[in-house]
Amino acid sequence: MFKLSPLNRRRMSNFKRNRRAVWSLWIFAILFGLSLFAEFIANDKPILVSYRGELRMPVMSFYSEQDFGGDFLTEAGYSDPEVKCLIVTGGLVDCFDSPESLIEAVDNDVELQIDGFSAGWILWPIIPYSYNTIVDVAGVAPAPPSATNWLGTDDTKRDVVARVIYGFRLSIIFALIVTTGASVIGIVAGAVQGYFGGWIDLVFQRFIEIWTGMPSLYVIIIVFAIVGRSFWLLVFLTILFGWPSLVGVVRAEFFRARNLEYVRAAKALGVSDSVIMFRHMLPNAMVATVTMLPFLITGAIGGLASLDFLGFGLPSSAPSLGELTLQAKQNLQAPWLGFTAFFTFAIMLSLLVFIFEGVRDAFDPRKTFS
Amino acid sequence: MGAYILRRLLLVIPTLLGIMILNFALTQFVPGGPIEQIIAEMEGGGDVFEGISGGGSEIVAGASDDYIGARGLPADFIAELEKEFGFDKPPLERFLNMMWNYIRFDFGESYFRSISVVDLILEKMPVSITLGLWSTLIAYMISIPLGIKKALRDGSKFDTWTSGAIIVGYAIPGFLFAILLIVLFAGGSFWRVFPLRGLTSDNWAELSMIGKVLDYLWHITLPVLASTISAFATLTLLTKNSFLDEIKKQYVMTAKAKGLTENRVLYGHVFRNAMLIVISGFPALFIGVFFGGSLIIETLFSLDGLGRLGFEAAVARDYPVVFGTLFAFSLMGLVIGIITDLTYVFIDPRIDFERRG
Repeated sequence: MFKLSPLNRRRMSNFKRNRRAVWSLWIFAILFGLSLFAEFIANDKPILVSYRGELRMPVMSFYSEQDFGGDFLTEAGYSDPEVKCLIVTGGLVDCFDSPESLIEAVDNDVELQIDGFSAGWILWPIIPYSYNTIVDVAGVAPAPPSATNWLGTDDTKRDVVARVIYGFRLSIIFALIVTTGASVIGIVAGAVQGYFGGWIDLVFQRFIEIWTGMPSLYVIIIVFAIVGRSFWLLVFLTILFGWPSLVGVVRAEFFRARNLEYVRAAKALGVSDSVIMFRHMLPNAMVATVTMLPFLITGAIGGLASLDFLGFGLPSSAPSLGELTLQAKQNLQAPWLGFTAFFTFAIMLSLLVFIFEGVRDAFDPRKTFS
Repeated sequence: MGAYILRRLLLVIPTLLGIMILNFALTQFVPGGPIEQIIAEMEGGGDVFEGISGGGSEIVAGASDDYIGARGLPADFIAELEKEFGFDKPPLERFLNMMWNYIRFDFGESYFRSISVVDLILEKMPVSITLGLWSTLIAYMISIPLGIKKALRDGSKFDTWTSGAIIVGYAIPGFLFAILLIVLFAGGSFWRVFPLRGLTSDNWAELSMIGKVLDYLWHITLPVLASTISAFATLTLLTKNSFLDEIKKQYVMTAKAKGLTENRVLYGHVFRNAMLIVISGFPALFIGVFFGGSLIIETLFSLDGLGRLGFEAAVARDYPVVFGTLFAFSLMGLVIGIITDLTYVFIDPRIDFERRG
């Protein structure tokens, strides 16, 4: 069990006093926690299947149709009536002729007097579609919300709720990785610049000016054209262009602090530069860093969304909220797409902003010691 | 001070050079250049960039002088094309040529349209000015009074909730508001009040003067609204914080002790000092108004502005436009940075950038 220093305890209680931040944190934690188990909430594979008395978890592992007494070696299509019938009846051959009537019979607890019958059941996730499942319902492509598709379907007939759940998770994970990466690089760069100053600072500052002068969208387009697109490449590129945003504040803090007594005293004692920088000065520069954090996180999410919107983001198969926004624009007759996109982003970003506002206030020395 | 300005100006040169070198070097590695584009168009094969801009990643072309699409066209024609675009020369020579022209502010012509880059930028400016001017005006007209009010009621419920609203508005990307506005007011599902695209109607030329103004305002309402929402946050909080800082100062106390009214203290004394920091952002703001571009807002509302220009030039590999705008806007940005710093000194002589200790 780790112990909090008195200062951090006070910060903690400051944070707890901010009701909006605490509520946001709870709601966000629950939403994000749930989305981490998205496979169990929205999936086109059942969570649990009982086949001939044996329990199987198709969510976790691969089962071919043959494993359920079918013909093919490919993965069982659990939403096919034949496969459903095979599972609930224990692999009867009759399933290939009249699956529906057999399923109905089992549903009504009729004891089937057929050789080899063994009752089974299927436990589906709440939303029986994954982000890339094509919904098998008749009708036009962006279908309005209905009992089966709570928020309708998009223009390739994929369930919007499922895509939102997976997209939410992807956005948050993306933002967290990018923010962490960009902060670490930005803090180190800013610290080095501010601490040493002089030529290092001058050259580094030019470098950052050049770096931020690069049209990042252009570079992303080019790199994707050369190596192809992937999640991790996008993370890498976003960090590559994102880190300078923190350098300014950290550098300023270090500039200010490097002439203060405690730093001079540490120097006089012969403490090494790196220890002074990261052990003594960094905690003082953290307030400025934390202030920037909400904007870094929301910036990363917004950036991903705009890239996806422009068609230069994640691979097209990925569940992306930006792509949902693009679909909303292309299908104005389907307003549920636009509403879903807007409110998903609005809720997600508001929660994040409120949480980090609370964190920032908790770190604010003026409020910590009042 | 003079030495400082000179040093800053001199530093612009290596920075700008660095930006240009980096980007020029980058384009050397790119599969598919403007010549491939023309060849593809001539052979009726469509657009070579479709693969890149469309979503596929199939284009992994080989060396830049070995055109896949060149098979159908006579070699001398391609050589002629290369000569016309200057691709027959080695990269270094091309780069030096380009930089020499840019230093004299000669930005050349677009590859695909016979129009100079400067004219192209001028052509796109109405959209940028429209969006920039109106959204800035609205943002200032709301943010400054709001910031003052928030400073006066610091810590109250009003303060916390407006802060929350402003920051949420800032955090949500503008194009999501744009989508919401389009769906609600232009999509046809709810209220079809505003037009979906463009800056003016098709019959604009026939309209009367008042009709033209109304038509223009009618078209820009949604895009301006969408791009304004995120602009409140920084300005409002800046105003609020600088007012808070000033109100605590002793001259305010003195003024109050003299018996001045609250308003007189606020607007006669505090306002001038507190607004300094806001005013020092004006030069940057001014340029932003004229040359700002928002790719996504422009795309969403089918406006033809600078954001789209840069994007389309990048996708189509229209190098003169890419590098011309890059050079011009980087230079502008760097100079504006210097001017902003100098404005700080000008309005508040206590600040100086000289090195000490």
